[in-house]
Amino acid sequence: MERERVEPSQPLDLVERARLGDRDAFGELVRIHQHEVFTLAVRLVRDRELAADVTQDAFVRAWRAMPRFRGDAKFSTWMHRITVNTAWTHREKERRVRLDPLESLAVDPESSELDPERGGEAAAAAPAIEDALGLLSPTMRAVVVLKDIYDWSHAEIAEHLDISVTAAKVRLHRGRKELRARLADWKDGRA
Amino acid sequence: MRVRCVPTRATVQARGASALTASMRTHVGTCAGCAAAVSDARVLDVAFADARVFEYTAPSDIEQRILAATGPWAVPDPVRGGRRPGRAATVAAVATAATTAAVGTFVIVLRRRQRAA
Repeated sequence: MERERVEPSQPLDLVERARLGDRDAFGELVRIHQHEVFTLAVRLVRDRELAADVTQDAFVRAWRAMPRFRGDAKFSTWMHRITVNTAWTHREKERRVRLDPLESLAVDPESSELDPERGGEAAAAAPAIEDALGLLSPTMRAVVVLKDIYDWSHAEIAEHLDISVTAAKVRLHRGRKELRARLADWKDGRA
Repeated sequence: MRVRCVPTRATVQARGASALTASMRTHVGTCAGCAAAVSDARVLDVAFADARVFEYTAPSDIEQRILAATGPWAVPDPVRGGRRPGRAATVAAVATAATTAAVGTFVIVLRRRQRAA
């Protein structure tokens, strides 16, 4: 099931209360950010069950690290970093298990809940890009997702994925090239 | 492929169709190959823009699972700021443990000697 992303916002004191050990406040943060964290996890691991585990672990890590959260970045940005690290840890554990990305995700364009007002090619492109991303190699996909959807810098990507900046740039270039080809096929198929 | 095609396509591939200069845009208007490349890049730009507002719905039980897995942690002492124990505290703890061990050993040895006597 897909949905249109709603920009999460929360009162500043919610983060502050959670930082001081208020579990109710943290529960509220979980309610607000669960879908965006799960979405990032799905994009990285391409398996809903594994993404749910990554989401759970990421929030548990966040809860334990709350006292160290200084508020230099937005809570959501901080959660994204934790999610990427958690997903990469899970990926290492699951490396022996070969997942079928299409079967496990099965993104159905008809089931997307995008705003009908947006309509046209843009609304239809989201499931197409999600499918196309699933066909990239894990690291290439992570680089493209973090750069082109989450707007991370090459340096941040390199640091979190434990690759060099040059490798990040090369993978981004190759990933975009593959996506362009796949989306061109998709566009031709619709024409 | 013409001379202008190389930088035009490199720019499109690296930074997207919106990064083209005025002269590159003019070239695209006269070159079918570059026009196709720009068209493909625009599809990608649109797709990424759409992905930014596209979200998967988390499992309904995820919140419950997270809260069940998060136990209370020790709230940092506002005075100490949750820092690790200082050097003096560590030395005192080690000294206490060593003294306890020495006294214990002494008592055990003493009792054994008394029994032997």
